[in-house]
Amino acid sequence: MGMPVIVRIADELANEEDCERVFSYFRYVDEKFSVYKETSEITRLNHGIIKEADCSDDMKEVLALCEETKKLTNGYFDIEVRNGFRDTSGLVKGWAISNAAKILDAAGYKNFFIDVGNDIETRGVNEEGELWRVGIRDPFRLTEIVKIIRLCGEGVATSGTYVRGLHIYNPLEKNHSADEIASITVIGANVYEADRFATAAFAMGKNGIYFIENLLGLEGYQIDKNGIATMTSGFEKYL
Amino acid sequence: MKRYLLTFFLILSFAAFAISQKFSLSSPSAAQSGVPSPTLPVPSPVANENIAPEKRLVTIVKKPTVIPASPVSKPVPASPAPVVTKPKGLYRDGTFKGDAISEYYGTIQVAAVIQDGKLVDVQFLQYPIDRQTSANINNQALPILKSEAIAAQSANIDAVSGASVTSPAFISSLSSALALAKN
Repeated sequence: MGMPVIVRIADELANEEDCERVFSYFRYVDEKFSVYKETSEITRLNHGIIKEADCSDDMKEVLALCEETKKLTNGYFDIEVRNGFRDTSGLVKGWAISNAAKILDAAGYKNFFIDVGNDIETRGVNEEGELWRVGIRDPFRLTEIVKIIRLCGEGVATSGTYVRGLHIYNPLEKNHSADEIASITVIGANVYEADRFATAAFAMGKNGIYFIENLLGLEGYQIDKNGIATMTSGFEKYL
Repeated sequence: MKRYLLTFFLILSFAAFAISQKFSLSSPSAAQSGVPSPTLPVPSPVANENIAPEKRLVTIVKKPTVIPASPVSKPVPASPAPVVTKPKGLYRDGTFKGDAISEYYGTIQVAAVIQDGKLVDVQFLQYPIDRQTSANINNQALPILKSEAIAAQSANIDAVSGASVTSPAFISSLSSALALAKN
Protein backbone atom coordinates (compact mmCIF):
# COMPACT_ATOMS: atom_id res chain seq x y z
CA MET A 1 0.00 0.00 0.00
CA GLY A 2 3.03 2.25 0.41
CA MET A 3 1.43 4.27 3.16
CA PRO A 4 2.55 5.25 6.63
CA VAL A 5 1.31 2.93 9.35
CA ILE A 6 0.78 4.45 12.78
CA VAL A 7 -0.02 2.33 15.79
CA ARG A 8 -0.70 4.19 18.99
CA ILE A 9 -1.50 2.27 22.15
CA ALA A 10 -2.75 4.15 25.19
CA ASP A 11 -2.81 1.12 27.48
CA GLU A 12 -0.17 1.17 30.17
CA LEU A 13 1.71 -1.91 29.14
CA ALA A 14 2.43 -1.97 25.45
CA ASN A 15 5.24 -3.89 23.89
CA GLU A 16 7.00 -3.64 20.60
CA GLU A 17 6.49 -7.26 19.71
CA ASP A 18 2.76 -6.80 19.38
CA CYS A 19 3.30 -3.73 17.22
CA GLU A 20 5.75 -5.59 15.09
CA ARG A 21 3.11 -8.24 14.44
CA VAL A 22 0.80 -5.50 13.21
CA PHE A 23 3.47 -4.02 10.93
CA SER A 24 4.30 -7.47 9.70
CA TYR A 25 0.66 -8.07 8.83
CA PHE A 26 0.53 -4.86 6.77
CA ARG A 27 3.68 -5.86 4.89
CA TYR A 28 1.97 -9.18 4.12
CA VAL A 29 -1.14 -7.36 2.84
CA ASP A 30 1.00 -5.07 0.71
CA GLU A 31 2.89 -7.97 -0.84
CA LYS A 32 -0.40 -9.56 -1.77
CA PHE A 33 -2.61 -6.67 -2.84
CA SER A 34 -0.36 -3.91 -4.12
CA VAL A 35 -0.91 -3.18 -7.80
CA TYR A 36 2.44 -1.39 -7.79
CA LYS A 37 4.33 -4.59 -7.13
CA GLU A 38 5.04 -6.90 -10.04
CA THR A 39 5.25 -9.92 -7.81
CA SER A 40 2.05 -9.35 -5.85
CA GLU A 41 -0.76 -11.83 -6.07
CA ILE A 42 -3.15 -9.22 -7.48
CA THR A 43 -0.70 -8.27 -10.23
CA ARG A 44 -0.14 -11.89 -11.16
CA LEU A 45 -3.89 -12.42 -11.17
CA ASN A 46 -4.39 -9.33 -13.34
CA HIS A 47 -1.84 -10.58 -15.84
CA GLY A 48 -3.35 -14.02 -15.99
CA ILE A 49 -0.27 -15.67 -14.51
CA ILE A 50 -2.50 -17.28 -11.91
CA LYS A 51 -6.20 -18.06 -12.01
CA GLU A 52 -8.71 -16.86 -9.49
CA ALA A 53 -9.53 -20.42 -8.46
CA ASP A 54 -5.90 -20.88 -7.43
CA CYS A 55 -5.71 -17.74 -5.34
CA SER A 56 -5.09 -17.61 -1.62
CA ASP A 57 -7.98 -17.59 0.84
CA ASP A 58 -7.38 -13.95 1.69
CA MET A 59 -7.47 -12.95 -1.98
CA LYS A 60 -10.68 -14.89 -2.52
CA GLU A 61 -12.24 -13.32 0.55
CA VAL A 62 -11.37 -9.79 -0.52
CA LEU A 63 -12.59 -10.33 -4.07
CA ALA A 64 -15.86 -11.70 -2.73
CA LEU A 65 -16.28 -8.71 -0.42
CA CYS A 66 -15.62 -6.39 -3.35
CA GLU A 67 -18.29 -8.15 -5.38
CA GLU A 68 -20.78 -7.87 -2.51
CA THR A 69 -19.95 -4.19 -2.06
CA LYS A 70 -20.44 -3.58 -5.76
CA LYS A 71 -23.97 -4.95 -5.49
CA LEU A 72 -24.75 -3.00 -2.33
CA THR A 73 -23.71 0.22 -4.03
CA ASN A 74 -25.35 -0.35 -7.41
CA GLY A 75 -21.99 -0.62 -9.07
CA TYR A 76 -20.52 2.61 -7.72
CA PHE A 77 -17.95 0.56 -5.89
CA ASP A 78 -16.13 -1.17 -8.70
CA ILE A 79 -12.64 -2.58 -8.48
CA GLU A 80 -12.15 -2.87 -12.21
CA VAL A 81 -9.72 -0.17 -13.21
CA ARG A 82 -9.17 -0.69 -16.91
CA ASN A 83 -8.70 -3.48 -19.39
CA GLY A 84 -10.14 -5.97 -16.95
CA PHE A 85 -7.49 -5.15 -14.34
CA ARG A 86 -8.66 -5.07 -10.77
CA ASP A 87 -7.49 -2.93 -7.88
CA THR A 88 -8.92 -3.71 -4.46
CA SER A 89 -7.45 -0.73 -2.63
CA GLY A 90 -10.84 0.90 -2.06
CA LEU A 91 -11.73 -1.93 0.30
CA VAL A 92 -8.61 -3.86 1.26
CA LYS A 93 -7.15 -1.02 3.29
CA GLY A 94 -10.11 -0.89 5.68
CA TRP A 95 -10.29 -4.68 5.71
CA ALA A 96 -6.62 -4.96 6.63
CA ILE A 97 -6.79 -2.31 9.36
CA SER A 98 -9.79 -4.03 10.89
CA ASN A 99 -7.92 -7.32 10.91
CA ALA A 100 -4.86 -5.70 12.41
CA ALA A 101 -6.98 -4.23 15.19
CA LYS A 102 -8.16 -7.75 15.99
CA ILE A 103 -4.53 -8.76 16.46
CA LEU A 104 -4.26 -6.15 19.20
CA ASP A 105 -7.66 -7.10 20.63
CA ALA A 106 -6.46 -10.68 20.96
CA ALA A 107 -3.32 -9.47 22.69
CA GLY A 108 -5.51 -7.82 25.31
CA TYR A 109 -5.26 -4.16 24.37
CA LYS A 110 -8.29 -1.98 25.00
CA ASN A 111 -7.22 1.54 24.10
CA PHE A 112 -5.47 2.20 20.81
CA PHE A 113 -5.79 3.30 17.25
CA ILE A 114 -4.32 2.11 13.99
CA ASP A 115 -3.93 4.66 11.23
CA VAL A 116 -2.96 3.59 7.73
CA GLY A 117 -2.91 6.36 5.15
CA ASN A 118 -5.34 8.34 7.31
CA ASP A 119 -7.99 5.62 7.56
CA ILE A 120 -8.33 4.88 11.24
CA GLU A 121 -9.66 2.15 13.51
CA THR A 122 -10.09 3.15 17.15
CA ARG A 123 -10.59 1.37 20.44
CA GLY A 124 -11.31 2.90 23.82
CA VAL A 125 -9.81 6.22 24.82
CA ASN A 126 -6.54 8.10 24.64
CA GLU A 127 -3.88 8.51 27.33
CA GLU A 128 -5.87 11.30 28.97
CA GLY A 129 -8.92 9.09 29.24
CA GLU A 130 -10.71 11.02 26.52
CA LEU A 131 -12.22 9.93 23.24
CA TRP A 132 -9.78 9.82 20.35
CA ARG A 133 -9.77 13.21 18.60
CA VAL A 134 -9.55 12.82 14.84
CA GLY A 135 -9.20 15.88 12.62
CA ILE A 136 -10.72 15.89 9.15
CA ARG A 137 -8.22 17.34 6.72
CA ASP A 138 -9.08 20.34 4.58
CA PRO A 139 -8.95 19.05 0.99
CA PHE A 140 -7.93 22.55 -0.17
CA ARG A 141 -5.13 23.15 2.31
CA LEU A 142 -3.28 20.03 3.28
CA THR A 143 -1.99 21.33 6.59
CA GLU A 144 -5.36 22.50 7.93
CA ILE A 145 -8.07 20.66 9.84
CA VAL A 146 -11.69 21.64 9.29
CA LYS A 147 -13.58 19.40 11.69
CA ILE A 148 -12.76 17.40 14.77
CA ILE A 149 -14.62 14.19 15.59
CA ARG A 150 -14.37 12.13 18.75
CA LEU A 151 -14.30 8.37 18.50
CA CYS A 152 -14.33 5.48 20.91
CA GLY A 153 -14.36 2.24 18.96
CA GLU A 154 -15.57 3.50 15.60
CA GLY A 155 -13.66 3.49 12.35
CA VAL A 156 -13.26 6.45 10.01
CA ALA A 157 -12.20 6.66 6.39
CA THR A 158 -12.01 9.54 3.94
CA SER A 159 -12.21 9.31 0.19
CA GLY A 160 -11.27 12.34 -1.78
CA THR A 161 -8.84 14.29 -3.82
CA TYR A 162 -6.91 17.51 -4.10
CA VAL A 163 -8.64 20.58 -5.37
CA ARG A 164 -7.12 22.86 -7.95
CA GLY A 165 -9.32 25.93 -8.26
CA LEU A 166 -12.38 24.82 -10.18
CA HIS A 167 -11.00 21.46 -11.16
CA ILE A 168 -10.69 18.43 -8.98
CA TYR A 169 -8.03 15.97 -9.97
CA ASN A 170 -7.56 12.56 -8.55
CA PRO A 171 -5.40 10.22 -10.59
CA LEU A 172 -6.84 7.27 -8.78
CA GLU A 173 -10.43 8.08 -9.55
CA LYS A 174 -11.81 6.79 -12.77
CA ASN A 175 -15.06 8.63 -13.12
CA HIS A 176 -15.65 12.33 -13.13
CA SER A 177 -18.86 12.58 -11.24
CA ALA A 178 -16.40 12.96 -8.39
CA ASP A 179 -15.57 16.38 -9.82
CA GLU A 180 -18.32 17.87 -7.71
CA ILE A 181 -16.94 16.98 -4.33
CA ALA A 182 -13.51 17.19 -2.78
CA SER A 183 -13.86 14.62 -0.04
CA ILE A 184 -16.26 12.52 1.97
CA THR A 185 -15.47 11.25 5.44
CA VAL A 186 -17.42 8.26 6.69
CA ILE A 187 -17.69 7.01 10.27
CA GLY A 188 -18.80 3.43 10.82
CA ALA A 189 -18.81 0.64 13.37
CA ASN A 190 -15.37 -0.27 12.00
CA VAL A 191 -12.99 1.08 9.41
CA TYR A 192 -13.76 -1.75 6.95
CA GLU A 193 -17.35 -0.51 6.60
CA ALA A 194 -16.25 3.12 6.62
CA ASP A 195 -13.65 2.55 3.92
CA ARG A 196 -15.72 0.61 1.39
CA PHE A 197 -18.67 2.97 1.66
CA ALA A 198 -16.53 6.10 1.56
CA THR A 199 -15.03 4.79 -1.67
CA ALA A 200 -18.48 4.17 -3.16
CA ALA A 201 -19.95 7.43 -1.88
CA PHE A 202 -17.12 9.46 -3.37
CA ALA A 203 -17.79 7.93 -6.76
CA MET A 204 -21.37 9.16 -6.52
CA GLY A 205 -20.36 12.81 -6.41
CA LYS A 206 -22.62 15.17 -4.54
CA ASN A 207 -25.23 12.50 -3.96
CA GLY A 208 -22.81 10.37 -2.00
CA ILE A 209 -23.80 11.93 1.31
CA TYR A 210 -27.42 10.90 0.73
CA PHE A 211 -26.32 7.37 0.10
CA ILE A 212 -24.55 7.39 3.49
CA GLU A 213 -27.60 8.99 5.12
CA ASN A 214 -29.66 6.04 3.97
CA LEU A 215 -27.30 3.46 5.44
CA LEU A 216 -27.90 2.48 9.04
CA GLY A 217 -24.93 2.83 11.31
CA LEU A 218 -22.92 5.11 9.04
CA GLU A 219 -22.46 8.86 9.28
CA GLY A 220 -20.73 11.17 6.84
CA TYR A 221 -19.24 14.60 6.27
CA GLN A 222 -18.90 15.63 2.65
CA ILE A 223 -16.99 18.66 1.38
CA ASP A 224 -17.81 20.00 -2.06
CA LYS A 225 -15.56 21.89 -4.43
CA ASN A 226 -16.77 25.23 -3.03
CA GLY A 227 -15.81 24.36 0.51
CA ILE A 228 -19.36 23.69 1.65
CA ALA A 229 -19.74 20.69 3.90
CA THR A 230 -22.89 18.58 4.21
CA MET A 231 -23.34 16.14 7.05
CA THR A 232 -25.68 13.22 7.68
CA SER A 233 -28.36 13.65 10.31
CA GLY A 234 -26.55 11.63 12.98
CA PHE A 235 -23.07 13.03 12.36
CA GLU A 236 -23.15 15.58 15.15
CA LYS A 237 -23.06 12.93 17.83
CA TYR A 238 -19.39 12.52 16.97
CA LEU A 239 -18.49 16.15 17.59
CA MET B 1 4.25 5.43 32.75
CA LYS B 2 2.08 5.39 29.74
CA ARG B 3 3.94 4.44 26.66
CA TYR B 4 3.69 5.46 23.13
CA LEU B 5 4.88 3.24 20.43
CA LEU B 6 7.16 4.04 17.60
CA THR B 7 5.49 5.27 14.49
CA PHE B 8 6.56 3.43 11.42
CA PHE B 9 6.65 5.51 8.28
CA LEU B 10 6.88 3.18 5.33
CA ILE B 11 6.31 6.09 3.02
CA LEU B 12 9.07 8.21 4.51
CA SER B 13 11.49 5.31 4.40
CA PHE B 14 10.58 4.70 0.79
CA ALA B 15 10.78 8.37 -0.10
CA ALA B 16 14.00 8.94 1.79
CA PHE B 17 15.44 5.84 0.13
CA ALA B 18 14.26 6.92 -3.30
CA ILE B 19 15.60 10.40 -2.79
CA SER B 20 18.95 9.25 -1.49
CA GLN B 21 19.32 6.89 -4.45
CA LYS B 22 18.39 9.38 -7.11
CA PHE B 23 19.40 12.77 -5.91
CA SER B 24 22.26 12.42 -3.49
CA LEU B 25 24.98 14.95 -4.17
CA SER B 26 24.12 15.21 -7.84
CA SER B 27 22.85 18.79 -7.65
CA PRO B 28 25.53 21.46 -8.04
CA SER B 29 23.77 23.62 -5.52
CA ALA B 30 24.18 21.09 -2.75
CA ALA B 31 27.58 22.40 -1.89
CA GLN B 32 27.22 22.30 1.82
CA SER B 33 28.50 19.28 3.58
CA GLY B 34 26.44 17.44 6.04
CA VAL B 35 23.17 18.15 4.29
CA PRO B 36 20.66 15.85 5.90
CA SER B 37 18.82 13.55 3.52
CA PRO B 38 15.54 15.19 2.67
CA THR B 39 12.36 13.71 4.00
CA LEU B 40 8.92 14.38 2.73
CA PRO B 41 7.16 16.78 5.05
CA VAL B 42 4.10 15.09 6.52
CA PRO B 43 1.42 17.19 8.17
CA SER B 44 1.79 16.84 11.91
CA PRO B 45 -1.33 15.52 13.63
CA VAL B 46 -1.00 18.09 16.39
CA ALA B 47 0.16 21.28 14.75
CA ASN B 48 -2.18 23.68 13.12
CA GLU B 49 -0.19 26.19 11.20
CA ASN B 50 -2.17 29.12 9.95
CA ILE B 51 -1.00 29.58 6.41
CA ALA B 52 -1.79 32.93 4.78
CA PRO B 53 -5.02 32.33 2.90
CA GLU B 54 -4.11 34.29 -0.20
CA LYS B 55 -1.94 32.51 -2.69
CA ARG B 56 0.60 35.02 -3.78
CA LEU B 57 2.19 34.96 -7.19
CA VAL B 58 5.38 33.01 -7.04
CA THR B 59 8.07 32.86 -9.67
CA ILE B 60 10.31 29.92 -10.32
CA VAL B 61 13.70 30.92 -8.97
CA LYS B 62 16.38 30.17 -11.54
CA LYS B 63 19.80 29.14 -10.34
CA PRO B 64 22.36 31.90 -11.07
CA THR B 65 24.84 30.91 -13.77
CA VAL B 66 28.44 32.01 -13.67
CA ILE B 67 29.20 34.60 -16.40
CA PRO B 68 32.57 36.37 -16.02
CA ALA B 69 31.94 40.08 -16.64
CA SER B 70 35.67 40.89 -16.56
CA PRO B 71 38.94 39.04 -16.26
CA VAL B 72 38.29 39.06 -12.57
CA SER B 73 35.57 36.52 -12.78
CA LYS B 74 32.74 37.22 -10.44
CA PRO B 75 29.55 35.20 -10.58
CA VAL B 76 26.72 37.22 -12.07
CA PRO B 77 23.17 35.94 -12.27
CA ALA B 78 22.05 35.30 -15.84
CA SER B 79 18.71 36.92 -15.14
CA PRO B 80 17.75 39.12 -12.24
CA ALA B 81 16.68 36.91 -9.42
CA PRO B 82 13.45 38.01 -7.72
CA VAL B 83 13.81 39.12 -4.15
CA VAL B 84 12.93 36.14 -2.06
CA THR B 85 12.69 36.21 1.70
CA LYS B 86 15.31 33.95 3.16
CA PRO B 87 13.43 30.78 3.96
CA LYS B 88 13.59 29.38 7.46
CA GLY B 89 12.95 25.84 6.35
CA LEU B 90 14.53 23.20 4.22
CA TYR B 91 13.23 24.64 0.97
CA ARG B 92 13.36 27.80 -1.11
CA ASP B 93 10.08 29.54 -1.82
CA GLY B 94 8.50 29.05 -5.20
CA THR B 95 6.74 26.52 -7.40
CA PHE B 96 8.87 23.61 -8.50
CA LYS B 97 7.91 21.12 -11.19
CA GLY B 98 8.58 17.47 -10.60
CA ASP B 99 9.33 14.80 -13.15
CA ALA B 100 6.52 13.21 -15.13
CA ILE B 101 6.33 9.59 -14.03
CA SER B 102 4.46 6.81 -15.77
CA GLU B 103 2.74 4.28 -13.61
CA TYR B 104 -0.13 1.89 -13.34
CA TYR B 105 -2.87 4.41 -13.97
CA GLY B 106 -1.02 6.62 -16.45
CA THR B 107 1.32 9.58 -16.07
CA ILE B 108 1.58 11.73 -12.99
CA GLN B 109 3.41 15.02 -12.72
CA VAL B 110 3.18 17.32 -9.73
CA ALA B 111 4.52 20.68 -8.72
CA ALA B 112 5.50 21.54 -5.18
CA VAL B 113 4.50 24.95 -3.86
CA ILE B 114 6.77 26.25 -1.12
CA GLN B 115 5.92 29.23 1.05
CA ASP B 116 8.06 30.38 3.96
CA GLY B 117 10.30 27.44 3.42
CA LYS B 118 7.50 24.92 3.84
CA LEU B 119 5.51 22.77 1.46
CA VAL B 120 2.04 24.31 1.36
CA ASP B 121 0.53 22.76 -1.72
CA VAL B 122 0.96 20.03 -4.28
CA GLN B 123 -0.42 20.72 -7.75
CA PHE B 124 -1.23 18.05 -10.27
CA LEU B 125 0.13 19.04 -13.68
CA GLN B 126 -0.55 15.70 -15.33
CA TYR B 127 -2.84 12.97 -14.20
CA PRO B 128 -4.23 9.83 -15.76
CA ILE B 129 -7.73 10.20 -17.14
CA ASP B 130 -9.71 7.08 -17.50
CA ARG B 131 -13.12 6.60 -18.97
CA GLN B 132 -15.73 9.17 -18.13
CA THR B 133 -18.95 7.84 -16.81
CA SER B 134 -21.89 9.95 -15.96
CA ALA B 135 -23.18 8.92 -12.61
CA ASN B 136 -26.51 10.54 -12.09
CA ILE B 137 -28.30 8.91 -9.27
CA ASN B 138 -32.01 8.64 -9.64
CA ASN B 139 -33.06 11.98 -8.27
CA GLN B 140 -35.64 10.85 -5.80
CA ALA B 141 -36.69 13.29 -3.13
CA LEU B 142 -33.59 13.86 -1.06
CA PRO B 143 -33.68 14.57 2.66
CA ILE B 144 -32.55 17.99 3.80
CA LEU B 145 -29.17 17.71 5.44
CA LYS B 146 -27.29 20.30 7.42
CA SER B 147 -24.60 22.26 5.57
CA GLU B 148 -21.87 24.61 6.66
CA ALA B 149 -18.88 26.39 5.20
CA ILE B 150 -15.71 24.64 6.26
CA ALA B 151 -13.40 26.58 8.56
CA ALA B 152 -9.99 25.88 10.00
CA GLN B 153 -10.03 24.42 13.50
CA SER B 154 -7.19 24.77 15.91
CA ALA B 155 -7.24 22.28 18.70
CA ASN B 156 -5.15 19.36 19.75
CA ILE B 157 -5.90 16.19 17.85
CA ASP B 158 -4.66 12.64 18.05
CA ALA B 159 -4.88 11.73 14.37
CA VAL B 160 -5.95 12.99 10.95
CA SER B 161 -8.37 11.53 8.45
CA GLY B 162 -8.03 12.77 4.93
CA ALA B 163 -7.70 11.63 1.40
CA SER B 164 -4.17 10.65 0.59
CA VAL B 165 -2.66 10.13 -2.80
CA THR B 166 0.36 8.02 -2.24
CA SER B 167 1.16 6.07 -5.37
CA PRO B 168 4.89 5.57 -6.02
CA ALA B 169 4.65 7.79 -9.10
CA PHE B 170 3.21 10.59 -7.01
CA ILE B 171 6.03 10.18 -4.49
CA SER B 172 8.67 10.15 -7.24
CA SER B 173 7.30 13.22 -8.93
CA LEU B 174 6.98 15.09 -5.63
CA SER B 175 10.49 14.02 -4.54
CA SER B 176 11.97 15.38 -7.73
CA ALA B 177 10.10 18.66 -7.25
CA LEU B 178 11.32 18.95 -3.66
CA ALA B 179 14.89 18.19 -4.75
CA LEU B 180 14.71 21.28 -6.97
CA ALA B 181 13.33 23.30 -4.09
CA LYS B 182 15.96 22.25 -1.62
CA ASN B 183 18.29 24.90 -0.25
